[in-house]
Amino acid sequence: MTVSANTLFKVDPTDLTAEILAGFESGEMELLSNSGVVYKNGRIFKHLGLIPVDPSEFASAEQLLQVGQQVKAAQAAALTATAVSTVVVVAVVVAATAYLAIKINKIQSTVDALSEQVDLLDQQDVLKQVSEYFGAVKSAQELLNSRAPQEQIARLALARIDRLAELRQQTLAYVRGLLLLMATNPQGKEPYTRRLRFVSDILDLVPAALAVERELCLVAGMPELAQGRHDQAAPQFRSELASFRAWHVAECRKLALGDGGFPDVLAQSRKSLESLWESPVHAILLDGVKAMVRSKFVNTREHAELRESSAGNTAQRENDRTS
Amino acid sequence: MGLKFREDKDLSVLALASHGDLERLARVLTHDESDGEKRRAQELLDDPAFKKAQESGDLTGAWQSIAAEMQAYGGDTIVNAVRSLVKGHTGVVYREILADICSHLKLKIQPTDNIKGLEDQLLIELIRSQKDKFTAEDLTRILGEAAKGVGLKESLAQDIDFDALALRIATDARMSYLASLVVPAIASAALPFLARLSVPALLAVVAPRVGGALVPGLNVVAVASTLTLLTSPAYRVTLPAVLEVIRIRRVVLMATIDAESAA
Repeated sequence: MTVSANTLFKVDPTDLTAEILAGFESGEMELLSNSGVVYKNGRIFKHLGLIPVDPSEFASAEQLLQVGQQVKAAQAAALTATAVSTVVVVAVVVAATAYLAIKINKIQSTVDALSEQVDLLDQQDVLKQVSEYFGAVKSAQELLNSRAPQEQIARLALARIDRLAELRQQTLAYVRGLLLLMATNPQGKEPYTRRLRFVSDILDLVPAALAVERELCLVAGMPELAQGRHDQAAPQFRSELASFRAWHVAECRKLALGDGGFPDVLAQSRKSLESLWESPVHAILLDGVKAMVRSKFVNTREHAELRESSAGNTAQRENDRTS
Repeated sequence: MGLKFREDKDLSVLALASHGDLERLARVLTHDESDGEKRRAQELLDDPAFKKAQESGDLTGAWQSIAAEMQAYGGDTIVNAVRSLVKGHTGVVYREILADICSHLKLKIQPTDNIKGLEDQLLIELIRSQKDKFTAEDLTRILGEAAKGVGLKESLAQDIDFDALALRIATDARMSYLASLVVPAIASAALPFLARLSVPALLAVVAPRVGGALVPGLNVVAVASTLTLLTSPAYRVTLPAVLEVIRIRRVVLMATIDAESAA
């Protein structure tokens, strides 16, 4: 990644009140990572302060994104605020650095290689749409990072939201079709390898693309749409990933029973696929703070204490209001 | 020149084996465990791909070399004795090695395309061949130890006799896996060289049932069993190697079952 930590900003953890944390956890509130705007029930609830991303947090997020491993040092004393911070930094790094561009370029080269093998016009058209999808994600990322006035960004974002969702649907439908083709007609080693890499690269990137799509909806002032898209797209992605995993398991089983092919391809892809199945980055990008709350990263005891404290604060506020 | 792997779908499972499992198989192929010496006919330790993988501490990239070494050991003993003199010699496929062992054991194997089915039959026959030395209680204890070692204790909710085991091996992946773990220990009652494939916990259960058969140096011919037909040098390599492949196949299959339930 080429962007350094001091060019990135995250929300100020001291602004994260127990009420906001509880709102994130329940899904009642949404956070636009790169501007610090918190939405509640579709309206702006609060503008959180922005502070520079600490180099150690940046390194932690980079490590998480690159190798899928959480850095233990990220577990600081104020645990849930740290969890939110990690989610925000990951989202900011995805949206504001070369992370996405590198992955998209990798996919583009696989798409080019696949196109050479595809002679049917309709399949070539689909591959063009896949290219268009990731091009649109890249351009949405550029828009989110532009220094243009907020109203201009919002207007441009609004114009792109639908097309992005449409292309995402087509891309995932193509992945589904490709898996079916690989199961029924594996062809030679070269096409098999390329298709496997293609599906794997796409499914690796989709959660990041969904995070960009979500931020785009938020920046367009449509937090409910952001939530709705997430509610629909996250399970759909998980379903595609589960299908891919089931396909891979079936291929390994066939190989083990002396009835399969391409042993080297399956063996070489095993490690990277295992990272794909268990990626903590996907959980963070798809579920945001909820993923952190559910995951092993968060100390459950301290989290329970925080919930109690949050409930206590709410009760206190209720008392203050009524007294 | 490196070992030449002959295309063999039944050995492709080695591509999915772990480093540890491949290391065990390579050891069987390259070393005589009775004296720890390198086998004279082995070529694997000099194979460039194997040496490179060994230096990197990960044998998964050398599965074809290991499979090729196993193929080279298969078939006729005389050919094997001189195979290092015949450059470019490629061995026989795994299915033939397996059939060769079954045929020498005079096992009643039903022909089938299903390699796992053939292996299951070998496991069943090897267990049955030692039926007179073990009671059903012994069998349950041995299986129980194996199941405990691999976290499958719940698979053995009740006592199991030889016939029930034979039936379940063919129909239950977990039982087939457990059988692949206990067969070397059970068969070592007649063929002590198989004891090296077993974990000490299993041998401890088996030992009192077979008297001195596990004592190194004991004349195995004294043990009346059809298995003594397998004491010739080539089978001292191919039988344990086949039992290792059988175990590896079941480890991989169990992993797919676990992955299926996780998906």
